[in-house]
Amino acid sequence: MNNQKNNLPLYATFNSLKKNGFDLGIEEYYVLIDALHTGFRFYNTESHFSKQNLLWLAKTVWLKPNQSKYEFEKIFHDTFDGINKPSETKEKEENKTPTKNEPPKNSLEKENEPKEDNQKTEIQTNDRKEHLIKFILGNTDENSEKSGFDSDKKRLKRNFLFTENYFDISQRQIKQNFRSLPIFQPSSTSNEIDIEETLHHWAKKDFFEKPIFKRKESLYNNVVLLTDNKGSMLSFELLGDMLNTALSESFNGKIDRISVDYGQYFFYNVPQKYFYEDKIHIKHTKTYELLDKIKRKKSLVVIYSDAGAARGGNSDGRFKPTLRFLLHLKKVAHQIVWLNPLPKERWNKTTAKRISRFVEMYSLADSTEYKEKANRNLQKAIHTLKGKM
Amino acid sequence: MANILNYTGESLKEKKIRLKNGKIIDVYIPSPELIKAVHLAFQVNRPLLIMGEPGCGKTRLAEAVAYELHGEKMYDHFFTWNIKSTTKSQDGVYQVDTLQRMYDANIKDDKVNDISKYIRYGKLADAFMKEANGDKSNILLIDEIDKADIDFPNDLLLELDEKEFEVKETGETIEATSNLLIFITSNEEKELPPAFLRRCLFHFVDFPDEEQLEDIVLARCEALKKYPHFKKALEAFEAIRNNIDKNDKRPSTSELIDWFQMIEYYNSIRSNKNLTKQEKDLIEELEKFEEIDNKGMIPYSQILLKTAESRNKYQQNEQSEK
Repeated sequence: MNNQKNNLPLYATFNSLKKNGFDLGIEEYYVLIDALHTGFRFYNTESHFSKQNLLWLAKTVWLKPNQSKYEFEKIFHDTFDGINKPSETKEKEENKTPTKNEPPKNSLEKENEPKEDNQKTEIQTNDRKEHLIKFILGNTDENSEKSGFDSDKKRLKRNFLFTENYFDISQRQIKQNFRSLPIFQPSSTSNEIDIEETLHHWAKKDFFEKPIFKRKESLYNNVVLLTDNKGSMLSFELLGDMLNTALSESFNGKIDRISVDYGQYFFYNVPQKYFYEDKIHIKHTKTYELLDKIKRKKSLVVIYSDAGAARGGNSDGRFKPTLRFLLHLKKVAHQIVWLNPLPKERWNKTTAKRISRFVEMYSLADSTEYKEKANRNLQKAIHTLKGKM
Repeated sequence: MANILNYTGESLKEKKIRLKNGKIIDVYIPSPELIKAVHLAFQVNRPLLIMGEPGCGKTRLAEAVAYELHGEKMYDHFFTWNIKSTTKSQDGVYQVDTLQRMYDANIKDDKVNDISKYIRYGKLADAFMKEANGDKSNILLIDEIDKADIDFPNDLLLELDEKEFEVKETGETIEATSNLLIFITSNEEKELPPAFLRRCLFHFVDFPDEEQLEDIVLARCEALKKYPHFKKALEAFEAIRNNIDKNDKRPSTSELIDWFQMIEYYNSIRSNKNLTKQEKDLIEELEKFEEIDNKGMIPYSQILLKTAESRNKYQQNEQSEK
């Protein structure tokens, strides 16, 4: 069974790419096979197969924008050694014509492999489908573990997963979620059609004429993101940045959303007399002024903080001022949600658990292996924000 | 019959073509990798997603392939869907002209009973239908797909995969029966959904190297072959490009061509009589650049330096050289 797997072209590369976080499925593998089957012509000067051409093909089919080209090539070179297993080479001898190809050099090449002319890898046409490409990518784990130093290296590599997704929720998911917040312009002329009324009107008149518009009200004019940074929130700073990016893109600078203000303010552990407009906490805004603005402008407030769950521990010194702030905030804000980068299990017996009884708190982390909860929690948070609409 | 696998990029390498309908197809020199990618996309019947800096010729590729395969008749086989931020996937497929239908209903026209008379097909549909009619080697270009909503590419998955769509109102299904070559272009920065990316082959158009740049410019501006300061200008361009931050707007191939066309023009009229003051000024800029002791001044810098930041930087360098 293992032998059959080894006969699949670039199988080891494909698997290794998947393990290293490249988003590939069976369909993508089929595309590569398709390309090879349809006699993809490799355009180098001798029209022969070359490792570079195969790499190009793999990249075109499997490498997507924003993925690391360097990493892809490294994995390809590590897994490719192009040696045919002895049994196959003998079978194919008569079908192959000698080429000028040299076997690619590989430090883990086994010495007992015959390096003859029939170690060939010419791409066949449809007619010879069954004798097609046999790129045998040796280097199954059993083979390489035999050499000590290399096996250590390999083991180390296996223990690390190199991935772009550090958090359980991606920038895209965050953006998508915030985009679903409806926004209306606070103008007296509405451009939303009242469909029921319009249909009644038309039915009465037996004529299609002007539609009837709804009376519109603005639902909120201001969105505020309060971010706890520094200290234990340092490791979650990037997630906070992603929230900020998504919110500012949703609410700033777009033509139909120009009427909604967005601002981000920073604090450390506990909201107190001042909030800050920058991460280093230099430019300050008095809390009561911020609350004033929130009251004046019909605001949605998003708080991003671990609420004490990161270090654990239950502290009145944290809880009481936070509660006081929340009570003030509730009087002036339209809706409030609290986003916590720690998973819910980590809130137990900490200040976070206590705070979560006074505000809608959602976790942006997912301790299960499927990593869907984070996105769903954010959806629920957005739903809460839409709440009274 | 035209076959996409025969595309070699040769037909537009030397000079531009003027079609009978007056349209001009400019010189286009694809890299060998790009040509390979076109063939591959056709063979495996997947769309080819092309990304790269703005101005590097992503959109022009589709046009060039269409010209090489179909010549004068290229517009019978080449469909372009230009995406805007307001574009929805349904726009490319079909829309029902309900407004017209309402007007017709008001005047009690019988046509309203047949909804198929109000179906207006989009570019995607046009391409599929052409293919379905037996006309092969058609090309569909979906230009700047990243301009649209973040979910837009996902909405197209079924159509791109199955190469078919259904007109719900009439129950008709239209299917492209053979390999339709689909080019999709996108600018570098925007994120595209993974499900969509998986369906496409991906090619990144690199900025041309020195030799390619020379070929591209000389093919467009033949007169510059005899221009003695051509190499100097090319080096100046590269210097500027290398000095601008990657995140800033770096001058690209199209700006390069514009710039050289300007140089070519003013070089050609410099010995004319009766030049206007403006023309004289512009020729003077060129002359200053040609001086042996010129250290970093370039003519017509506004063509290459588009942002205030880069212009300031250039002016600072200019001042310090003086």
